[in-house]
Amino acid sequence: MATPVNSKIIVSVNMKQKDTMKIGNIEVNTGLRFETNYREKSPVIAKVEQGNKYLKEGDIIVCHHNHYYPPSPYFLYDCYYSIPANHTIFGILSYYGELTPVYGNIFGERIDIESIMPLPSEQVKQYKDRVKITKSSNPNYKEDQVIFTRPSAPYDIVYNFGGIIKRVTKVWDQMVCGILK
Amino acid sequence: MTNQIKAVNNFLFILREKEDSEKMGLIIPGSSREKPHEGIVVSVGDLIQDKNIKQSRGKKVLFFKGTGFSIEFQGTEYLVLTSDQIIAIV
Repeated sequence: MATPVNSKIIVSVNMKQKDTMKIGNIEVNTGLRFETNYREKSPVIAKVEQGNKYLKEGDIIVCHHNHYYPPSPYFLYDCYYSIPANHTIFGILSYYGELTPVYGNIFGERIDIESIMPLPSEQVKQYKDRVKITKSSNPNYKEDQVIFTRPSAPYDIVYNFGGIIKRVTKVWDQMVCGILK
Repeated sequence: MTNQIKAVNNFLFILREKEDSEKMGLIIPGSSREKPHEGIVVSVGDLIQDKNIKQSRGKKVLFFKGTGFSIEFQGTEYLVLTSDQIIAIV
């Protein structure tokens, strides 16, 4: 096994099933929230082979898809990749299906735009520039706080953990422009 | 109302001056109005390095045309800029 350098970590990914991973007997896969939304191509599920202080060997991580598309500059051999340990790693997936943000990422839920008239749920629109925090890896941002971001900076992650579909909206803390006091 | 929203990182929140709706007695339609490139700083982010911009809250600033993005909150539209998009403090 190669040794990672320059703050990189080594991960293994099955590129034939890059958005699928087994944790014990439970199958996990990621998917698109909207079929034609190209901003949220399936985030990749990878297993840490050689980590660092924050990511331990065996951790299952969810990261950005760009590192893995061929010809990938991060490709080592077989199914191994040496990827930078930065905000492109969104979170660590626990054995219970909970995603915990890392490297300055913030998880939250989108906020509905209020309407004067009551609307059916499929008609309700959501803000593209603000989210309500559910989990944060940056201590400056607290749970239940509303943050404002650059337009369209929030990135939706949809994953299926043992048959249960879960959704989180990810924001990198550098994209946050304002908070509600 | 404006006290509830606070800029963070390298961003500033600005209330843009109102655009002219009339010129030499002629009413200008909304699409043809030129948006002013000056406004009042409402909130300053904590990571801004420039000392003068750091202390510019409540002051009028000039900024590059067509820069930044808008955020609407409680009926008020704020222009959000990064510190390098500010030209001068008036």
